[in-house]
Amino acid sequence: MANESFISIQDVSKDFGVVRAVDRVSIDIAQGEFFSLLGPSGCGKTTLLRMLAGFEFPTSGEIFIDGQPMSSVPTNHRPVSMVFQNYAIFPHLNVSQNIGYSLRKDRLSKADFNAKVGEMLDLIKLPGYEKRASHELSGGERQRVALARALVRRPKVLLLDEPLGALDKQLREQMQLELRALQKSVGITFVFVTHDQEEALTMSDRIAVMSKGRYLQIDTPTQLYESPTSRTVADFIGTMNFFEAQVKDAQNGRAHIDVGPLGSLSAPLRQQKFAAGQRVLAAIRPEKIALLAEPKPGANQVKGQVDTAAYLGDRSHFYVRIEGIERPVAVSAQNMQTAGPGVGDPDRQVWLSWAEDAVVILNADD
Amino acid sequence: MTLSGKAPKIGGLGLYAVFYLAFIYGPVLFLPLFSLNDSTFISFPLKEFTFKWYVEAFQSERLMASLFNSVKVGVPVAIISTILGTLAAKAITRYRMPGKTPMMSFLMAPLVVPGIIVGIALLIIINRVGIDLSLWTIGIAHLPACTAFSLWIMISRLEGFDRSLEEASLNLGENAWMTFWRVTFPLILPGVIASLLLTFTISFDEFILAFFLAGNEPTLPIFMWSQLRFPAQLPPVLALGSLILIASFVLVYFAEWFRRRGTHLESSSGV
Ligand SMILES: Nc1ncnc2c1ncn2[C@@H]1O[C@H](COP(=O)(O)OP(=O)(O)O)[C@@H](O)[C@H]1O
Ligand SMILES: [Mg+2]
Repeated sequence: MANESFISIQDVSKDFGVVRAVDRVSIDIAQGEFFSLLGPSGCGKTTLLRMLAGFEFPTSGEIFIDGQPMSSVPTNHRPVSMVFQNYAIFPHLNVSQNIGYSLRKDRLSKADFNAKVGEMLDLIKLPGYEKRASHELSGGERQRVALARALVRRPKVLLLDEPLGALDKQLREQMQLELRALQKSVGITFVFVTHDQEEALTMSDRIAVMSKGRYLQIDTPTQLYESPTSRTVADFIGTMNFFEAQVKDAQNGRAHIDVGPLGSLSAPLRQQKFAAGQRVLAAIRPEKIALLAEPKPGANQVKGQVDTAAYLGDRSHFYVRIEGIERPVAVSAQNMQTAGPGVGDPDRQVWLSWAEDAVVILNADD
Repeated sequence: MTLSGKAPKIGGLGLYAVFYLAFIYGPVLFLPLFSLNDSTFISFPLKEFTFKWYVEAFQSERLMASLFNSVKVGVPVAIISTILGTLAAKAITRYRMPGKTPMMSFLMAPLVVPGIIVGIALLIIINRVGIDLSLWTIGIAHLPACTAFSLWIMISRLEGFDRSLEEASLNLGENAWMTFWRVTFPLILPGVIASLLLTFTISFDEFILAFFLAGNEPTLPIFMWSQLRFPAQLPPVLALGSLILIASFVLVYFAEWFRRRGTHLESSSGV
């Protein structure tokens, strides 16, 4: 095993009868990494996580944790703790008994046991909660107790299955920050499952975007957002405008493409290979397009007409019609001074402008 | 709705409930009534108030022996059928297996097959095999129906059981056995107790199977039935019957209380 990868998922598939839940996934995760599995519901995230936990075993392929093959290791012998989607707090035990559940084998004295539980309660910011019954806890408190219960045995890996899904928005955003800070302080490898792309972007070191049992791209949040390698990823993470284009030539890290009504432009290549004449998609994020009231000399620009405009306070969203392009172009503008041209003024004529380096070239057929 | 909705009125439904309860429990209440009446004859008008039938009941060796016989059958039957019912319920709710539905029907059938048919069938088989009739044969005859009852209770218990609790325990380093003792068992305990109480009650007052399969040691229902022919023997039987009536109420009440308490615990486990 390479030293780098602490968890190594090698060509793992999982079938449930005729359903292939996970399809030939290979992922390497480094020690101490905050790694997220992101994808729509039903794409196999939970199944993959359950295979790491040892509740399910791969139909084919192998999982290594800390260099050890896991195919014959049951869950209770893996250095892996899991926080369940519904938290799975034991209803017949109080908070202290829940958190200390895994300490039975350590045969601690009562004082040591209490000290350890108290330490965890401090960590999750619920000091004094020892004697609370499980049904007296709020959703957020249950989530924290589940976290403490999983961490008290010092696992090498913590698995979290949509742990924030049941919380309201405000609490969720607070827990995102706390969870990230906690992960930094304990230094444990986290594998985090979510279907919320914003959550994945704010918390993760790296993200695997999954779809239909396969992974599409594994990258840092910035790379995923700035340089998606497929239309599905670009679409799933944030909003993206796509324009049909054709490659004129591709060399020295740049490609010249013809984007029809938008004219020709030269966009950077991101470890991709395209042949001259190939049909591709030119993709650009709404916030990377500038909306101008007047044409700007010397820039890449195209004339358009505001179709709809929505004022969101800090920014405004526009859809701009361009002659020769079927779908209106989404543009997002920070409202630095005013609401921007076109707000409260539909059908206004505007110019769209962009930097060539912001354009991503994608294969047309995936 | 008008304001009158606030004042509870005894409507048609209320009246129905009153008649229903009177019809069900009215006759039963004659048991304690006559058991406290100082007369050998079961008839009105009532005479003096007395406890002597209770004393007599406890002094009757044969009555006490039959009571003890019923307990000797009921306790093991309750324990064995609850163990079998619990294991079967765990298998049925936990594992995906082919033929689950027919098997369920098969296991539940003893609840609806008439006792007299089961009784005759068992009697024929037992005679063929050449086993002597005894308390053992009664106990064996009671097992299928009691197991079905226990299965029914335990399935409803385990179906509401959040599977991830057991997974959490395994994930926290416990093996299957310790997981059963630390998580599964405490959570299904109310169901287990309810099952023990109810299966005991069923076995304790079962008549038809016991009648067919009793050897020379009668259980309490059979002994009581045999005493009906002797009017003088009846009042002590009434006295014991009254005590059993009270005990049954207490048992069933507790069984129900445990079952509900369990439900409450479990509903707090969700998010
Ligand atoms: N125990 C199972 N039996 C049969 N099919 C399953 C089982 N678990 C998951 N699946 C199927 O596998 C696919 C992936 O499920 P899952 O891993 O839960 O997705 P996600 O967590 O991404 O929503 C789904 O189609 C689901 O129906
Ligand atoms: Mg899931």
